Amino acid sequence: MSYISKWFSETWQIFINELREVFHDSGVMIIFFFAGLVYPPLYNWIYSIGSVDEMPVAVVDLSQGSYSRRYLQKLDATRECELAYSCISLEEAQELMVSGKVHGIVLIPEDFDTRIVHAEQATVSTYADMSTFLYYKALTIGTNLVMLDEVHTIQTERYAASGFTGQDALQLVEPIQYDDTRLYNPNISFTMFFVYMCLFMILQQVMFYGSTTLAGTLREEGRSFARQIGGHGVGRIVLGRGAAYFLIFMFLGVYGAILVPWLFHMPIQASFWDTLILLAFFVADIILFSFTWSSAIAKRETVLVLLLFVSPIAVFLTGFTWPASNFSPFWKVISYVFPTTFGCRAYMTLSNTGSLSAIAPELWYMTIQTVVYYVLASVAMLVENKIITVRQKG
Amino acid sequence: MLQNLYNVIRREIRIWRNRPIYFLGSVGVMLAATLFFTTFMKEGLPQELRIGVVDLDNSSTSRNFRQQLDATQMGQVVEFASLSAAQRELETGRINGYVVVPEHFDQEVQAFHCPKLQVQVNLMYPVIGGALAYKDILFMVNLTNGAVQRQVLRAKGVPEYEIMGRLQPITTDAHYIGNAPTNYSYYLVNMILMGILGMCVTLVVAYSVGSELKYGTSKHLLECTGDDIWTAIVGKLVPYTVLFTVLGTCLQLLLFGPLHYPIAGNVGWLILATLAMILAYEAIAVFIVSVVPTLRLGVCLSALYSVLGFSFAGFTLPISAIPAGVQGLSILFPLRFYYLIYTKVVYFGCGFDAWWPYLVALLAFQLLPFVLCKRLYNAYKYQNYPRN
Repeated sequence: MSYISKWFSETWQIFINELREVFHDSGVMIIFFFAGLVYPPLYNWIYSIGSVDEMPVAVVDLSQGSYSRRYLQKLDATRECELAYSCISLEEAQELMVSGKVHGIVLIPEDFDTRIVHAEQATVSTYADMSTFLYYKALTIGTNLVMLDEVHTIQTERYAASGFTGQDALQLVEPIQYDDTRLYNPNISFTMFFVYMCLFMILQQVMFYGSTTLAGTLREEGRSFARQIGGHGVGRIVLGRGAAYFLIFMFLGVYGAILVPWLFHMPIQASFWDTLILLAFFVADIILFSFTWSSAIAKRETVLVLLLFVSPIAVFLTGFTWPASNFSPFWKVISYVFPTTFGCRAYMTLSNTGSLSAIAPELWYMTIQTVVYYVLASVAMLVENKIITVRQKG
Repeated sequence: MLQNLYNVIRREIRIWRNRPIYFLGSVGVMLAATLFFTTFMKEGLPQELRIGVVDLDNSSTSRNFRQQLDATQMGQVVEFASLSAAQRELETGRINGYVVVPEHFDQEVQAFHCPKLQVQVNLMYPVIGGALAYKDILFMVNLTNGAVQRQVLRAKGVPEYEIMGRLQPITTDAHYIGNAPTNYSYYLVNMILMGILGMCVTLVVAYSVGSELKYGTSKHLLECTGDDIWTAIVGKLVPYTVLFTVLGTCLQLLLFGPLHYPIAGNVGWLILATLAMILAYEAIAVFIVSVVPTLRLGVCLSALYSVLGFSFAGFTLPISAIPAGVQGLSILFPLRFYYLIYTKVVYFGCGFDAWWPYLVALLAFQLLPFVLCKRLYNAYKYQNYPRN
């Protein structure tokens, strides 16, 4: 009984001590509370529009017929494109594109109307500014939608001319039909997929950089927590310190992953409690992840200088753009190092489906990660303690 | 004066030799980042994306459709027995999309009853996979449609040369300027690596300028220069400028040389832009340390500032698609101006006259250190700020 109460009182002391260290360190406070509180709404704000609509397009209509006019009117009516300039030559349009006034060119050749009237295939040429994929996307989707619609209209007109109307014509034009459901993000906007990924990424990176900065400080000042072993056990130190960060990061997590998206009207299907459960798994994981890797940090400022570049890499390893199924085996293994690889995926899935069972595999992976990092963090502390003792004796 | 400058440069190189962080933070970081980004998206465009098919018909027509979809370069078919299984895999991002072939599909096609395929795609996670899978599925549906129509037209005796004109009266001939294969590496890698280079410059220079304060060596530095803060700063920055310019040049030559990234203009212009960007980030780092003359806050602020550069450069989301309230912030990031030069040189092959204003903007960052140089001088001279 006395052991248990001693265990609890010591863990409690370590917990209080760690909180005190955090709140007395202005560098760590900036990372935790400036980055943790300002970045989630800032990124939400930056990406709140998230797509290119009514992109300015230059048009070169060499055909000047009724079919080309109808095509262009339909293009102007799309959400994606706006006919901003009408040019007399491709060169003129190219100049507009180079100067950044338009981000796409649509060229309708001279024989466009003639070919359609002769029932031959007519071609529209498009030129996309590839400097941003959203420009390319807007032009491609805009022109393809109009093309499909025109194909449909022209075919129906022709069948009508040969005496097929109504259902008969439709059967011929589109013998196989389809209903497409574009789930979650029908306009392929950045808002959704980037912001969801970003919110969990911020939590991990803030925890990692903040806690390693603190660990570096303590080592620099010869007050590393590993020195405390002897009086306290490893478990008490890891759990006591961990509990301090758990408190801070559950707060930052509820703020960043629940409150901020709600304020920005993100379409989140997940209930508050389900997100809280996911956060608990994820926060435990990032804490032990940071404890493990902070073992290698001896000085306080070095971690930001040396490891800030890991952030964009971790972003790509979540597989939020480039699909995880297309990772090479090597990078796939590396991606398992980061809690965000599973955390971001789980948060996205949970936000989309609102079903906790859909993210069961990710919760499992995060549990395994947490256990592995718990063991590694404990071992690292024991090793550090050994080194310190040997040095002190030597 | 020149002798003093030379002394400071030698002193800085001595510091490099004693502390590995300078080389690790520049050469080490850039090597690791280059290794990652040049190998990660090596395919350029994802291939063999997992697309589900729920075949409720199991006829020769539906089997044919499935095989055709599988045979596309982009798609790889995964079969599901039930709708719910496919839906769950889709929701969790394990497949990018799926198609449901309804019962009696074959019969209804033959009888012209216009059967309906159900197409579901996840356009959120992973976003590229979803968008490409969607494109692939629609392509295949339209192709199948075309095949059925062609049979009908042939049966009606329409001559073969007229069939294409009837099946598809209009086609699009798409040109992708500067990135014909729509390769994701071509699009992202240069900008991301330059962003990381800018990040390294800011952090390493802020660390270097700030650590004079932390380790109390700033008085010695001023002594070397005869109490002149400018000689001290310029002398300290010369080795970094050389180091980062070499790194930046190697990177540009690697991407546009052995890795064959397309470039319409002259790579020399891009190297010039890289140099101007490096100088701009150095000026910002000096400015940040002048604002907060302590090492740890300087490094913290540099980190918080430099990660935002990726969003404000406008290479993923164009600046015009950012809310007006935050658009203006983009001018605070040299990466933004590098990107503007980059698009002109790489995509459109423009010369100096098309982008010189952006180069001027990059050079204008050099004015920043002047604003607070007195403050930095005092901090160096009196060391009157907390060291930690």
